[in-house]
Amino acid sequence: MARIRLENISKSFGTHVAVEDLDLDVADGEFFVLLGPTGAGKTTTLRMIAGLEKPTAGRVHINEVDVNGWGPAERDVALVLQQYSLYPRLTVRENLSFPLRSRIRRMSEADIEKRLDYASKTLRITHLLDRKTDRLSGGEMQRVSIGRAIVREPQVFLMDEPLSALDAKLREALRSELKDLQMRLGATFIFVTHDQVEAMTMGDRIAVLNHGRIVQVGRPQEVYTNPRNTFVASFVGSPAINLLNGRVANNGAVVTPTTFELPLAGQAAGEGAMTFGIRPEDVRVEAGAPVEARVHDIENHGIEKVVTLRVADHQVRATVPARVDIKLEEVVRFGWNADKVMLFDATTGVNLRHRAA
Amino acid sequence: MRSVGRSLGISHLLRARPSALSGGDMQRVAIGRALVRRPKALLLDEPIGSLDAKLREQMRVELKRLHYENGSTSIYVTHDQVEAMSLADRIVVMNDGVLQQVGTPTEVYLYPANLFVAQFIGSPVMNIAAATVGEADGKVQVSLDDARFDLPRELLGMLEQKKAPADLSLGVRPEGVLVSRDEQPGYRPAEAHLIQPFGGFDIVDLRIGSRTLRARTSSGFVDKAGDKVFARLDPAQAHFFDTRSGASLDIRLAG
Ligand SMILES: Nc1ncnc2c1ncn2[C@@H]1O[C@H](COP(=O)(O)OP(=O)(O)O)[C@@H](O)[C@H]1O
Ligand SMILES: [Mg+2]
Repeated sequence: MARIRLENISKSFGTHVAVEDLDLDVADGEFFVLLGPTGAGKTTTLRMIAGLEKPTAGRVHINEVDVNGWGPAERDVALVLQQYSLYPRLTVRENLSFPLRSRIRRMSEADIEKRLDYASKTLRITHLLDRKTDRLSGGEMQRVSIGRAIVREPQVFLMDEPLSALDAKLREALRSELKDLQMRLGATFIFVTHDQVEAMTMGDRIAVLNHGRIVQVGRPQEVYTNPRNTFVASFVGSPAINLLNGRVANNGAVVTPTTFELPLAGQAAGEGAMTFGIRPEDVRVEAGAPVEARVHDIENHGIEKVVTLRVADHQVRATVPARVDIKLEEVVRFGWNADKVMLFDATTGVNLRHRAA
Repeated sequence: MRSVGRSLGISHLLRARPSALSGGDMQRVAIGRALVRRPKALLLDEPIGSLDAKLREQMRVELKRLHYENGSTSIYVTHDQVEAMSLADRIVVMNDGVLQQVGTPTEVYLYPANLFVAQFIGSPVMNIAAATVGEADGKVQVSLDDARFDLPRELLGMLEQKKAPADLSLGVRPEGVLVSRDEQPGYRPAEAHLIQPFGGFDIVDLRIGSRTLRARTSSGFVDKAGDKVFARLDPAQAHFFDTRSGASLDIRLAG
């Protein structure tokens, strides 16, 4: 059980700044996700919490105790990585009990057995206990790696892209398993990923990182509906949000340079140059809608179709129900749900709702 | 070469060295190399499998346009069902070297030929459970252990006609599990467990009796884990399979 607080943490490697002035407060029992593209500084941040990397500046607190001077073992955190760090010639049972047999722990065989039993039942790997780990599938190996963390009963679980090496179906299954596990353990999880689906579906809160800085912290739905800037807007959500450059005139959106016009809801904050953001599910393809377009692409996603519309040089993605009959190069009309339009500063990309706040 | 370069959006790279290219550009060039020969058929083996999610989405649209403009027969190999569904006119689903089904994306999604296809195509995965069909209170019910749902009476005749075996599995995609906040005829009490927000929609795990069924709802429809709601199955989206062979019984109920 632990609360983790990072205070103005920075980390440089030589002249290269990997993490800059990072502030985070992770609550006890929270599933907290660090989301960002490759090179954003996620692993470096996690390693500083684990005590494997010393911050160049700033402080790490665990349960309000400054742990900057503490080594990894004293911090009592468990790290699970993308590459499984299992002993290949040992059985699952031996792999699980290994971290408990260290001299410092001095655990009795009965206690070890109890923890092993709990971890293997929780992860549903009891039937694998006597198997050598090199005979396991990828998903089974990752479960055992997580098991090795669970038996230690750490204060915090740190996970660095633990699902990234697995195929799509397995990732989907392990996503809900991991979330379920965290809820049952009631433990603090800090989970690093570049996959926005993992972040959205598992996180109680998400911190979006880019270039070593935190761009936004919020609950998944908040980050999705009210992204801080165009980077977050397009990083989160699939199919990706439409970003259209233009200007506000007469309380409407004028998309340039092609010039088509769409309505805005209520008080359009300010006039002038702007980037309009609209998610594909808020674009409506229907007769009588304001703008004419050609169908550039159609993707069948089973439950729905993702349609890319073409207006001169612009492409606009829309999701439509699967039963909608539509053909490539067909001429259609589209509009948008005006109350769902996001307005971003044309030069900085900052969401105007955030700038005002 | 210039026209291929233009349609792939790599005209500006024609003079660049391959070592200076990004992953996406490198794959564009590789596809360009195949296209300039104006082949009769184009064979592609996981051409975008190694790219990250955003780039894959973008490249999917480009590949599909290229196929549309260029018109050559293309055979495309992938392990990614989203890619298959998104790109294909027709899909051949393979497993262990054995052909499972051939059909349009709509066909394999709506009418999977067997349990493998049913679970391979579509995300989140289709709910599958051992089922028994019987009559209670004058209604036809399908039981998944102690979770019971009403289905139309015509199911009995269809099962008989298809010579349904005793070992039956029911399959229903998350969007075929209909959720209500209020009690309604035919809806069973359910308790929400995991809620996975995807932004545009939520996937909610529902505990019904001792079973868990995964449902798709509009985002925020179920507020939090532990909430009590009600659920029923959409008959039009119910699939029945022979559990032993895995084959679909091809029963299609009206909604
Ligand atoms: N040991 C190191 N030495 C030098 N540069 C490093 C080291 N570790 C990370 N970096 C750099 O720091 C930045 C952040 O890296 P990392 O934390 O691994 O990002 P992420 O996990 O988000 O992909 C990158 O530019 C990376 O090249
Ligand atoms: Mg990393």
